[in-house]
Amino acid sequence: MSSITTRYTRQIPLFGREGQEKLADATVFVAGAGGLGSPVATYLAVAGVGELIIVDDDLVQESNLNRQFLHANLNIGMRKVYSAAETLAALNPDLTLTAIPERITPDTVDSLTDGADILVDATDNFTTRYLLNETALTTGIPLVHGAVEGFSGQMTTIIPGETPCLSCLFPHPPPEKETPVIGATAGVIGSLQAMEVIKYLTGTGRLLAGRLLIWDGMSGRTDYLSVSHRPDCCVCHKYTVSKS
Amino acid sequence: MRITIICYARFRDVFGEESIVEVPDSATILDAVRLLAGRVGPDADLLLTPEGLIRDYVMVVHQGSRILPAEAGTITLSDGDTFTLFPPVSGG
Ligand SMILES: [Zn+2]
Repeated sequence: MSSITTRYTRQIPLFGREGQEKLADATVFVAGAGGLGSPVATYLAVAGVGELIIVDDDLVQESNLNRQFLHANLNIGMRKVYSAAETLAALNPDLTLTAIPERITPDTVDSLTDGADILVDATDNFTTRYLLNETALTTGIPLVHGAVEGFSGQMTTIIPGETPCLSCLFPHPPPEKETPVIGATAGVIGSLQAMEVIKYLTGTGRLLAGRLLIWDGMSGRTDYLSVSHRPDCCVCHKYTVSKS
Repeated sequence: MRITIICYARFRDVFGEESIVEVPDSATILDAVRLLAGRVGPDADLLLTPEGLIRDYVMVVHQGSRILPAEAGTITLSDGDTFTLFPPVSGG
């Protein structure tokens, strides 16, 4: 950490040395090393987050490379998490990285996320998202949700016990199919997710908690909607003490 | 009454970015969505079920709040109102 003052000179004025130390002390769990995982992990690594736990069981394919800039041509066929680890280690040698080439399942999610200060949903499916949501509610660890398709996306931050949960927000998953996407879309939403993590860890700014950002890059429209607890949310019901 | 419906993403591709629909007084969000959907033929099923209800994953935003599809038939609009239709996405 000898280069802390030089490496982070341009950001320390934003949240002070204390903020920088909070980042260095933090562990962030990143679910997915793909389109969203690339900007999320990259921006957290270069910002000086101490430890990243990255979980993904996929291999790098050529068709990933239009957006997943953690990986390059020479990584095709390699586990995404190992390819990501190489890229991130080169970007910031101070980073501690735990790369786990596994699928996140109901049996493994608790041990995988153990020790994390915040969870980032950079997955591509609602099955895993709902699993992360339940883990957030049981452990009290915040969850930053993001998703993309084509030129559009959405994101929000879930603070267990305070904000509505992911199931309140999306009681029914959107239809899942292989959808087109451009790298810049994942770049926008993934960067916003990294920003939320940095704000949360350093205690700066106002989180997108209880608010959902919706974004359409094609029309340049952005909107925020406030979301409320769904009284009939079966997930909240299970995990939270009744709140008014 | 004139109602403006703003569509995002996949809905914008099919229904247009900003549409005006003329609805009778005391019309609901559901009535307005049905009118919009009625303009596009078979693609209407992106928004509506065969029974003419808003598909349950569709996000309707009215006055900064999320309206659940099941509530859309109970939310009465006023002349000049705007609401937004957003298709939540799941890619990563
Ligand atoms: Zn809930």
